Amino acid sequence: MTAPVYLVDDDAAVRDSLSLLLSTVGIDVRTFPGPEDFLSALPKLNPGCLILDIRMPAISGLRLQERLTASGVAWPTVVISGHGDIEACRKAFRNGAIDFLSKPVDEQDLIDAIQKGQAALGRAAEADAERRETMALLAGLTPREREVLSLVARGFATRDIAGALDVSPRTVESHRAAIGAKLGTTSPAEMTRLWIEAKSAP
Amino acid sequence: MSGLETRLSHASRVNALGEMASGMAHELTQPLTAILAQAQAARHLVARGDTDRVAGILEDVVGQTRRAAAILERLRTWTRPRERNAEPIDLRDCIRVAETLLAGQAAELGARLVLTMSPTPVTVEGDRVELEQVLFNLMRNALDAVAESAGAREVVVDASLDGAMAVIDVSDTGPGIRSDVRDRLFTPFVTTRENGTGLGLALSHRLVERAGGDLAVVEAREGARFRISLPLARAIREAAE
Repeated sequence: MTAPVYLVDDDAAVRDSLSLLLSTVGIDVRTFPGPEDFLSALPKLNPGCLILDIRMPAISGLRLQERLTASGVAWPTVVISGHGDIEACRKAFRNGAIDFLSKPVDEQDLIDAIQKGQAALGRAAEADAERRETMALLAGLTPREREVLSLVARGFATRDIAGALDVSPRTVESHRAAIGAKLGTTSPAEMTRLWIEAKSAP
Repeated sequence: MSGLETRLSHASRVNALGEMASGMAHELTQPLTAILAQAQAARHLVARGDTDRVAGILEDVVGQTRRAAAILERLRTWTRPRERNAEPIDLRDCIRVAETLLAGQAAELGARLVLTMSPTPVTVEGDRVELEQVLFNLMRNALDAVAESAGAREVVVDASLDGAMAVIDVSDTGPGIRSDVRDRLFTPFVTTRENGTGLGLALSHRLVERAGGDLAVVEAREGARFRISLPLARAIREAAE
């Protein structure tokens, strides 16, 4: 899968040349002259890999990184810088950058970093799809079945669950069978995993 | 200017060079980044026989090389002992040069460098390098001043026309000017900075005077404000006619 690349740099020549280079190797790239332009386009953008120049007027690359993180956009970010400033580099990584490259940026380093970013996006998309699937499975449960599942996930045995819900163990067993059929597993460990996955969903 | 002053001015420029070096390095990486990317893109295109676009890319390479050369040329004019050369200069250009050179320092300090410029040219008669140096000195001093400030760090450079005069104000949100140095600000070797030479303001004052203008401290609500007043080139021409 190849996610788009978004390049934010205030220098027109840098923007045009890097976007030319990336497009000649088949990477889909869109450029923005400043963080504000990127932020205003953001709601309409598909998830992609960000390449940010660290030093731009008004909002620096680092500040943009912080804003994106704060608004829940966790796209992989590659920070590029005109001077190898250790402090800025450390901040970029602390803000979650996947790579830090010094200008002039060599083609291979840039492409490697982008591929790393695209792989991370791919993994995030997979995890997302899995979580959605789990949510859909759990949505098929009745309220009572959800209650039973939550107790299974907390490690209670059938007898304890029956006591807690004031029903017979046989009733609990039949709930468990129904849950198993709906979720496609009879293993308590697997049920627990699905429950936790759904609970950790945003 | 006497021989001593010429040497002083040269020494001061070379001294400022160290501080400019980081700004200059950043400036140069931009065209280099573009050239490298353009060359690598052209290599891909040639490899697959798609040569139609290469000519245009080479044009851009030439353009970016010229851009890098112009940056180096500016560095050379600063370091070379030189004859003064008065010509019409738009002060807005000098301010932009100084801004470019100081952008890095401003970013490191988390300071905002705000330019409020007249939409029309602010053209005076003077020596380009000298005037660039004056603006660079004042703006660098202002950045140094805001570095001591815990609150908002802002340097505002305002370029406007006032009748027959060009007026440039450089204001900062720093702690202001200490009263014990206030009267001796333009005296050589007076400095409040640990490793300052005390030449920046003294020389700037002299250079502005030499262009027929004045450099002064003016009242400000907070921080310090320096004002350069220079006769506009058109006013000088009209007076001569």
